[in-house]
Amino acid sequence: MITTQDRLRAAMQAAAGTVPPASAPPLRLPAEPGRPRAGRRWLRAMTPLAAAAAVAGVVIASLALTRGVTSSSGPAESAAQPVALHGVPAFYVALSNAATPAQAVIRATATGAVVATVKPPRPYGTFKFVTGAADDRTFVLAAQRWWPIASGTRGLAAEKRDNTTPVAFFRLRFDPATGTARLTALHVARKIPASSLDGIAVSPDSSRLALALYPAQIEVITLATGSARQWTWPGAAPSTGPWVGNSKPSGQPLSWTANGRTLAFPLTTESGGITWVMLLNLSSPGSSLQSAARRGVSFLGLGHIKPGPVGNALITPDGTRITTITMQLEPSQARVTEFSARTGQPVSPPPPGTTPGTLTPWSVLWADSSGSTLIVNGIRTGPSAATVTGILRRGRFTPLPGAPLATDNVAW
Amino acid sequence: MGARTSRPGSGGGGADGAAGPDAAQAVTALYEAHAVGLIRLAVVMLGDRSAAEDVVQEAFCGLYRRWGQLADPARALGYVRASTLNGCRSELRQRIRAQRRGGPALGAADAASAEQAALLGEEHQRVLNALRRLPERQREALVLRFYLDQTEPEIAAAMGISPGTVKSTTSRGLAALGRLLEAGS
Repeated sequence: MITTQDRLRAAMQAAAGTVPPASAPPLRLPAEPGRPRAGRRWLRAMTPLAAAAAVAGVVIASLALTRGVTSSSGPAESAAQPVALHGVPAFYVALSNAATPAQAVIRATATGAVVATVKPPRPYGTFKFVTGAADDRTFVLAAQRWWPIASGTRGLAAEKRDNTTPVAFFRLRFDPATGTARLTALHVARKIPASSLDGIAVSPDSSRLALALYPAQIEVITLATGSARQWTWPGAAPSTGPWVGNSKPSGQPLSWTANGRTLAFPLTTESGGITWVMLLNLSSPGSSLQSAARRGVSFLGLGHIKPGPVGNALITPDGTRITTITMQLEPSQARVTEFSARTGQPVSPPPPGTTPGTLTPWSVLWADSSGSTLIVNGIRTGPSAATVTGILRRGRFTPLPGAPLATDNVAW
Repeated sequence: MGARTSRPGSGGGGADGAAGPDAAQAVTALYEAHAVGLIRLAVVMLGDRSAAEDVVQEAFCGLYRRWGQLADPARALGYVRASTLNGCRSELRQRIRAQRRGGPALGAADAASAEQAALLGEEHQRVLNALRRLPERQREALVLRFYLDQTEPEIAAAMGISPGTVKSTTSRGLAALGRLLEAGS
């Protein structure tokens, strides 16, 4: 006789059996100790705090700059091989809140050495996002008010962020010759609550700034004049979506083509999975995001690929490819996957630069013009398993010493 | 790595009790070894692969944040398993709240569950649906006892109740499950 206990055991084993061996998605560690995960429900439950911050015109902000600071994790590791670094930006900015609030740390790509550290100017307590232009020395930072509400119950410093007052934007210019950095406040007329901002991307020539706004709006600001254009997905609502951005914080959600005509963004559907990478034609008329954007990649119906990317997706600067990480179904494996921006289909056969067997990737942080060289973050498998960030070129992965483990707070 | 700081002699513990590269390496290795097992446990509890993955990710992130506070690294797996169960509990409570409101979160969960159901036979799905209708404590005790094959003292430690309560809860849970299945047949 089959008992209830037998039926229960069999059913639970069957449910467990739907998760194949080695099919766990890559681990995404928090950006920094205490850095919040982007839990929307939590953000919206924050107690409203007053005191909106005003930025009048373009002013030189108060700037705290530290020169020649060595990596706090010890001596810089040996530099990455010069051949791997060819064509890769020499500097990047990572947001660090190892010492809360978050600072912008400028590092050399080859060695990971810290070349300058910039604190958010008062009254902004912490940086929220960073994005880089094509020249590897111009960056834009979003800063927000920081409020010591409480220490947090589970080691989360997130409770200390004021997500209700507007964010402020700053241009960071770094001069490698002198090792100096200059922070300039940018004039953005519209007041954007920190909780509404899901991502930023400065154009390659640093003349425009694109914002991903919750739930489904993209705004592009011309930085010289402050003029802005908005595209909104018709009918998008906070509770039902769709949403612009990743379903989980992982890498930059927005990316530009080099000619500044196209902006790629993920569109997350109501069921919670990113289904499309959309391409916004910035010269198209009107304010409907649905009309102005076309589907770059639809992950549905690809058969061998789980519907939706694992991490973020970037359009290559030449506009020909969309590169992302997908979960292949048989065998179950996370892989760097390139799609044709024209057809939306995976580039087949996989070109050089696809994933070596020792790396489980989960985010693409930077791509060169054609996508043949990438900076990716993932897990190095094997006995010395660890989260790593490095250069991926022609199937060869070169770890970058001192590079951050997290991916939602770094820009090349 | 990065600009992470380490307190001298803290084994990599950071300002919030979280840790640096050593912790990242240890947590990553633990994840590689046990993530699938924990996702399976969460799938049994939730019936939704995507939510199960989220719960397990969050549990490991929690472990990473608190690595510096962990008195005995050998207990890390126990910690992360308890976190996974806590996460499942929270997720199920959220679903119940959403169901009461008739909100959109329910729709999303249902869609994911439907996908899961398609992979299981009708009989198994019926049993799992009935399991998820049980009170929280009974459901958890049954999963720990009959899926993880844990002993009563182990279940007591995991759930923070006495071994005697484990025995009665498991027994009542099985009886209630039987009644639900009978009523549904």
